[in-house]
Amino acid sequence: MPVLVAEDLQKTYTSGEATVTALAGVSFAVEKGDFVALMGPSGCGKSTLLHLCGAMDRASGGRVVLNGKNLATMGDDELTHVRREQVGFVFQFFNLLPTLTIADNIALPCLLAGMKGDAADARAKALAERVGISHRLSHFPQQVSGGEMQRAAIARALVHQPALLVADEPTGNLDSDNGAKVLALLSALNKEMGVTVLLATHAADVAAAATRVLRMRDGKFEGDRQT
Amino acid sequence: MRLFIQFILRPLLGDKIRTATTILGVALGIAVVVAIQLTNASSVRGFETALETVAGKTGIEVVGTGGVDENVLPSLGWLREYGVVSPVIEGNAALVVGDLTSLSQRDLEAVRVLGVDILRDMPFRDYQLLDVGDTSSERADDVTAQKFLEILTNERSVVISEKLAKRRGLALGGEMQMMFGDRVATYIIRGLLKDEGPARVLDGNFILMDIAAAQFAFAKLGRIDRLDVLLPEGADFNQTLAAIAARMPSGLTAQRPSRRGEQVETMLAAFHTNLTALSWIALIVGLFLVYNTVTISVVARRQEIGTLRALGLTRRKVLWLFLGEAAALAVAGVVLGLGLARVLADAAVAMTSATVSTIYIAAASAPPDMNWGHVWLGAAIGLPLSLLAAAVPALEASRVEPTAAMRGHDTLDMRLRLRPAMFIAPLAVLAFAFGLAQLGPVNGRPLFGYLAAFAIVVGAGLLVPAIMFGLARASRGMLRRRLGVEGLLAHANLTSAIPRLSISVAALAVSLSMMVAIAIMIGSFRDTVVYWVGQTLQADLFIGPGIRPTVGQEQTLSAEVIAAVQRHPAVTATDSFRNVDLVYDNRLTVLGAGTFEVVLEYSALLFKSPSNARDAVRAAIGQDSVIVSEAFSNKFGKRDGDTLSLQTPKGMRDFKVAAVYYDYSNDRGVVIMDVGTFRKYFGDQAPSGLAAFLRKDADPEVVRSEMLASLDEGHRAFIFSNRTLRNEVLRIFDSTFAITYALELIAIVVAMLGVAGTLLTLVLERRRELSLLRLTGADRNQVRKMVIIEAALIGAVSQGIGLTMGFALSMVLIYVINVQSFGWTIQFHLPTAFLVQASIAVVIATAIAGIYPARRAAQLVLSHDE
Repeated sequence: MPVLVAEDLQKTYTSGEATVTALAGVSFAVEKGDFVALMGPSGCGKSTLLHLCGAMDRASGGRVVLNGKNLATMGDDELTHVRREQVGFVFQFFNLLPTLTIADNIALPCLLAGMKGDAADARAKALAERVGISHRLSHFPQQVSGGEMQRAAIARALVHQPALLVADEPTGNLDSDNGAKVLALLSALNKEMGVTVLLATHAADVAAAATRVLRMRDGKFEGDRQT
Repeated sequence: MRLFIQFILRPLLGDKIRTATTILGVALGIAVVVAIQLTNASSVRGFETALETVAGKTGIEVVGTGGVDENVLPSLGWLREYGVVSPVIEGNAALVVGDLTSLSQRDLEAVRVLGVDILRDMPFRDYQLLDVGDTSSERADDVTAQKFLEILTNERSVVISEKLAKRRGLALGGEMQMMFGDRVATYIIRGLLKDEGPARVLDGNFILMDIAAAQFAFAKLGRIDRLDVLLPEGADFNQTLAAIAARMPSGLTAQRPSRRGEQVETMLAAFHTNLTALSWIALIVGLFLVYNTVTISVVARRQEIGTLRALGLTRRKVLWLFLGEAAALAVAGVVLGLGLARVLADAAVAMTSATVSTIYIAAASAPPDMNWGHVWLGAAIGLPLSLLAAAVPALEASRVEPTAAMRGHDTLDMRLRLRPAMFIAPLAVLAFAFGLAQLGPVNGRPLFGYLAAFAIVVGAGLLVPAIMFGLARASRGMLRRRLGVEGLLAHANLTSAIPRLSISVAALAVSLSMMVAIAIMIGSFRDTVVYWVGQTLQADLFIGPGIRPTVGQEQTLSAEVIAAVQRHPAVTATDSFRNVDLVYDNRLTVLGAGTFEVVLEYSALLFKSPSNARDAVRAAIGQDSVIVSEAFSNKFGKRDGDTLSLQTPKGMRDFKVAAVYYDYSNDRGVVIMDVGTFRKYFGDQAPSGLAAFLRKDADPEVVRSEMLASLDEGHRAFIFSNRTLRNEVLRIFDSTFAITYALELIAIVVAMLGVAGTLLTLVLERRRELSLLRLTGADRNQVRKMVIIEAALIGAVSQGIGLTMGFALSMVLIYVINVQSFGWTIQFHLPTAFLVQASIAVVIATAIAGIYPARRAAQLVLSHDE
């Protein structure tokens, strides 16, 4: 059974009298353990699609089913619970909470889900070691490098063992060396932990790390290629 | 201008709650300051207006302690060389408006009674008779002196104001009852006065009678209150005053009538200064709201500012835009505040007039109308201070870089570090405060005391960041353990926002510290008074006249009432006391006469010094010796063993201070001499009160009823039992401080608005992080809980700092300001229960103040790329 299924997914934004179609009916399915890249130029709708799959936003039409649950019919609180339990996020600007230490940032999803402090800390520590930032646990985000921040963000995205990891231009704000390391890490974690990854990028070399590449343009798929 | 309207005014109008809160905050601040000015003015103005209204054209008045003996009048014939002379009796009486049998203050209404020799007095004052008794149909505007004389020949005849007649339904030719001291008398209304001249006093509560009738009514046979002198036109006032003063026999003083008003003003100065100082706190806290609002508006629109900067708007223009916002808020606040001031002033007058007229003067009057001076005052303090408050965020706005703001990631660097300067500077200021508190008064005002209090506030305010850093470091683990992830997040958010929060916390802590300080001060004071009352109110019954004794202590007890009291079989001893106004060192104090033997036998006074005070007082009987209250001793620097020169009808006389006693009933200062000594210098004067000691087995309530029943129809006295008088003392005490609490409450409400504002700023500033938090899986409840925890933590920290600061301030209030301005020693007492309750209430209240920001935070739309 696929982890993620999208059927005729549509999203339009209305601003005043203007209506912009961001997604014009896309359908696809992602199997457990897949590493899928959404590739396309700016404004093609890949980020929008990512948001809908990650339970961050609701579709204007069609449906998204994550782990057997239809996100389209959910209210805000239910979507929050889906994000908390089944989705992990990695963003271009790392988006760690600047007020928390790296350790607290990583443990946060577990804490929000109600896990005991000690257990959450233990998990965070283990993942930090895996992604290679255990020496930075007591630092604040602004005290570490961009590559380290992104590794911390990956640890945070995985600490609660989500069904789906959503990554939006995860290397967009990193130099090529650090970008390559982050991609390698994502790829390795995908294989080791069997976590399903959905990644959006405009760069072909980033998409190359994925096992499947979906090309997008003007809110639609242009191609679907297994690598 | 267009930019200002679009960029500043529209958003202000759009964000109604925030704008309204700020305007209300400023308005309350301004309103409190102006209202207190009005209130202070009203208590003095009430007296001064009455004084001026009655003084009429009088240029110079001749007065003496305890009045002027008629026997000296013939020797003052030379006064006529300087102008027309008119002898005057003037005082308060009670118009009986209810049932006399139940006799409570509700049945009485204060009226001003003027007794003159109408023939001599016509040129002084503007009397306009409306109707004349014997020709009721005839309207006579110009009544000759002859006619006036006909009206006032009878000792039972009075002329009253038309206004009073209308209000009380009194008719010409009808009767009315008045109480002078304890004596009830019936008068016939023989004329009505138009609302002109002296008839305007006390809103028309004015009674005119013949001087002989007034002497009789006030039991002042053989004495007059003063001589008014009307100078001819063109006379040089100062020269004449000097000439008259030079020829004045000893025991009498020539002065301008307004001198009495100035004395009252001096007397009330300490009370007024304290109220004014309190009122400024509300204003300062209100200004903190302006700071907050402009900060919010800068924070919320960083990107817009960046865009405008990118489009070529200069830094200076950005600065002006936000200062303009502060000005707009201030103008609205000032306008609303001036409107509110009137309402608050009415409330404040109602609250203070009880104090002023109980402790100082009968002057319960409506506050004066607001004039341009008050508008100017409101604008002059509201506008510049608002601009000052907005300067910091406006400067911050002007420093926004076009590029940084456009990226939307330009939050302030909030990770300020703890530096040694954050300790050293505030500790230096606090040490300075300690030094200031050791200095003495300046002109009888505790100026250094106020400065010390101010320095404590500034020092503690500066110490707030350091304290918060310390607390942040110490509390993280505990908060995470106790309050879970929300506690951890709240801690993290607050810690990172310490620079911004410090101002809010300091402002709230300042208001709270004032509450704490005042609570400790009042609590200590009340405790001291309760102890003092317990020690000194030893008599079983206290007998007094109908109206409370105030300045112009003309209310006396008659021989009949005293006899009725002394006659009662249960009475074992009585102590009568007589109070007169005493001008000492140009200030109004009280001179009292008491029976030292009874005082000693029944320990009716609590002595401060010397250690063998009782022996010293015993030795003072029959000597030219006095005892003085602590307030007098502190005000004039007189200790036991010193000598006082007092103005007596027999000229200046020296009196030795035998002892100093504690007295919390009067901050004017009291000098008491033994009744024999008093009689020797001031003549035989009727007492103003009487204390009666009863047999051990007597029931005071029963004795009281029997005494009242034994009075004839012409006499009514207020008799308090020991218990009711104690309650009365505490009731007066509590009502005195009611306004203090009210002012404090306003300051705290404004500070709470401030906390809500600060949190709102933080929420807006953290929009991105809050979104992230939601993306990471925080639900709305968790976000709400986090913000409310933040609010409660702010409240708890502020209250903690406020408690410490308040403790220090209370020391200054009790040991410096109170001693220097009122001359009272107060025993320190911590009202623990109140402080615990208040602290809990503050934390709950701040948590409530966090609800709105919490809702806003939970409503933020999810977006990770903002």
